[in-house]
Amino acid sequence: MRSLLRAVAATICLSTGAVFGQDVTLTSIDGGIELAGSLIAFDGEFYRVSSIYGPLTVSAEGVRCDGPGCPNLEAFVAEARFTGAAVIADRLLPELIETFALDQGFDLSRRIDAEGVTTFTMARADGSVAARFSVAPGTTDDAFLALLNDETDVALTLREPLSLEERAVDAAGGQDLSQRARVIALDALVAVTARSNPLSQIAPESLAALFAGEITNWADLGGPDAPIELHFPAASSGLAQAFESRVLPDGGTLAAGITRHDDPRDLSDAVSRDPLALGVATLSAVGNARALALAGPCGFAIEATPQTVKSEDYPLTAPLFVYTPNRRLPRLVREFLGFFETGMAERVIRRTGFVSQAIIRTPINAQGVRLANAIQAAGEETDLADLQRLAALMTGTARLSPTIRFSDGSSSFDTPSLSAISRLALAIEDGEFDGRTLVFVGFSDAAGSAAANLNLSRNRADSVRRAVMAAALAADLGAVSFRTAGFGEALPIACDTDDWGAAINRRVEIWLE
Amino acid sequence: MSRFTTSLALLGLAAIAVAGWQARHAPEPPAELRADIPSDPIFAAALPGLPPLPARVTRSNAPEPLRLPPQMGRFGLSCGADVTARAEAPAIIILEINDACAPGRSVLISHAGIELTLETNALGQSVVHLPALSDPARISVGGQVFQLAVPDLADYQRVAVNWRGDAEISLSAFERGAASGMPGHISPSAPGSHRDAVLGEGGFLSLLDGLQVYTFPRDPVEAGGQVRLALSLCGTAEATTITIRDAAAAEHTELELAGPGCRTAAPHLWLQNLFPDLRIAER
Repeated sequence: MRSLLRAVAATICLSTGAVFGQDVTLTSIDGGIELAGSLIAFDGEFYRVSSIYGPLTVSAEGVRCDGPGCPNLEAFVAEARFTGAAVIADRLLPELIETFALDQGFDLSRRIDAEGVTTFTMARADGSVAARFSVAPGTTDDAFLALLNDETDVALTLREPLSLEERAVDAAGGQDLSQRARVIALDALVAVTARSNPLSQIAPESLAALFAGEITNWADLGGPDAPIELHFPAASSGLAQAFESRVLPDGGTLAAGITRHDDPRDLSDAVSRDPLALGVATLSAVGNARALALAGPCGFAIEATPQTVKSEDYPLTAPLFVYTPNRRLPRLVREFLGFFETGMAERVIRRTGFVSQAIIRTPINAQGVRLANAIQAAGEETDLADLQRLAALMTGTARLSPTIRFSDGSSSFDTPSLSAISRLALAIEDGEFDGRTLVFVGFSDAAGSAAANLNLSRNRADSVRRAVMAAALAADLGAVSFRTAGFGEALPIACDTDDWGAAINRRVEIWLE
Repeated sequence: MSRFTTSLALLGLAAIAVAGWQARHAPEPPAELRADIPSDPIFAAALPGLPPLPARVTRSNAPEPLRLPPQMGRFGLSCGADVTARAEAPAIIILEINDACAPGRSVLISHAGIELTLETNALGQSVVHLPALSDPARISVGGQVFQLAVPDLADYQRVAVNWRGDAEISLSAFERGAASGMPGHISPSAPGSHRDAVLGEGGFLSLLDGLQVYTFPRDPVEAGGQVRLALSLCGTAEATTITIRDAAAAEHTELELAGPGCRTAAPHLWLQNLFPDLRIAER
């Protein structure tokens, strides 16, 4: 018995208690060990059995199954329930499933039921069913609740879990929820107005003041004397919560009288009809409205575009997440989740209006605004020689989208930065930059002396270079050259005078020669 | 082409009593006739036991049809199916069917993955305005195949939903953020017009039996924005959706729809993501 228990791959704790199925007896191939219990699930590779030792997962390869509950190993169908944010469930997932099925050579059929749940059935060429995915559109709140209650296999969310949710799921599942997250695509929160509204940009502080109820009249934004009609995502939407936690001042609550919308596209359409309206939608759902650039007090404005979202130069990025429960999913479901990182999936992501995480290159001639900004910001501490050095290095290079950012005064990496480093390392391992030079270019905000900032930016650039080289374990590091450079505060892309802008400016960019 | 003429006559004799979508699963005709009957029947009589039909098909360059005694329909018109097809703006195919001896008959039309059934009137006539879904358009009218050029299809974006079953389906288009029930919301109760589309002022909805097609001009007077599409549904159906965003490729999706019952108090299912948003070109 002991050795069988040691062979168990993982123990499962079900928050809702075991669902008792039919009796099975698992016997090791040599006949020496026996485990009886009722079958909870079979994923094609592993049995999940409720036994006197609690729920156990046992590899089907090493055991024989006897009893009325034993599944037919050949007829196994990979089933998965996808639950959560309608933006993902309705717009992105169906197209991803379609492309995955095509790639696998499966025949796909779909059924939509009265609750709006779509069941996708993938059949092999011989007609046998390989997989059945059911997709239930709802909200991010629904997704985390379903994960907590073990009622979903893949939770679709537009934000990371609230600490309460994280604690509850961790306690139930016995494993850190953040370990089971993946970002499938990117989007961004954007302020929108009607196309006829002349406002073209807004400061993050003004946005916060608007939704906190401190600004209520267009006159405060330089417009006519008229009330501002506010539109905002529904309370249960992950977008609403992401905006509240990132934009509203600490503990800030939303003003009364705001019109709420379940679907960000409905929000954009409502705003597009009213020149006095302003709302918060997403880049993928701007539709008939117009997105405002985020502006700082010194005149820099950053528009949400695929480039600025990927590089996080635009500060309000809104990733699309999937979370999986702390148990084994059928192989085909795991393969589907892995498919999200392929070039085929990236095409689907772009086509459906979202931003993929693929590394893109922005050539020097598309960087004119940045250079203009640098010239504008030059002055006491940044002189002509600095700018010439910068321009010389920029000539003939392209900026890669991954950008590493730092919290104030530190040189340690946050989670998105670690993900950017790993993507870059992967691209190096794939030989994407063979024969080329990668230049790690550090920049700082303007707080402190220029000399200290120059030093800090050089140190950050070097620490990113070392982190990338360390992560690219399988790479032929001789095939790629690495260089570092630091420019201190010389090339700001946002206003240093506020915290928002300073955070955007503290960065290491990666340029390709 | 000779097969059409021949088989049309034979089918008339067989008088298969199956209508519409079920025509594909028609009971087999008597064995002695079976050899010459194509899989796609031309006419499926709505009523069993009708007198045998000789048939004549325009565009047929068949040597000689089967020799059958001449027949006259009601009002003294000669028998035989006369089908004409032509295309006109805005990328619409006009099909006219005349068969004086076949009043109240169902005719199966198929085109670019959609199928629908027409019924002839008391005079054996039927006219349909079918939005083209491909250029050149191949259309089968009861098995007789036409091919027409529809060059102006490139001037329009088009989405279609085609279904069979007891479902009640209505397609809605919200042009440039139009609110429900307001101008710019195109639906079966406010379908717009061909004229609007030709002039570049807006889209229109074509309403046929088991088929709804929305058309929007590719280069409208007012640039920019999007058209969002939604489907309201009760009942069950096997459906196909088709989207033509660029003239080169139509996207087909097969769906099984199981909405709330049409005779229950449950609200209709509102599906907003079956079709991609149609983008309106910026200048």
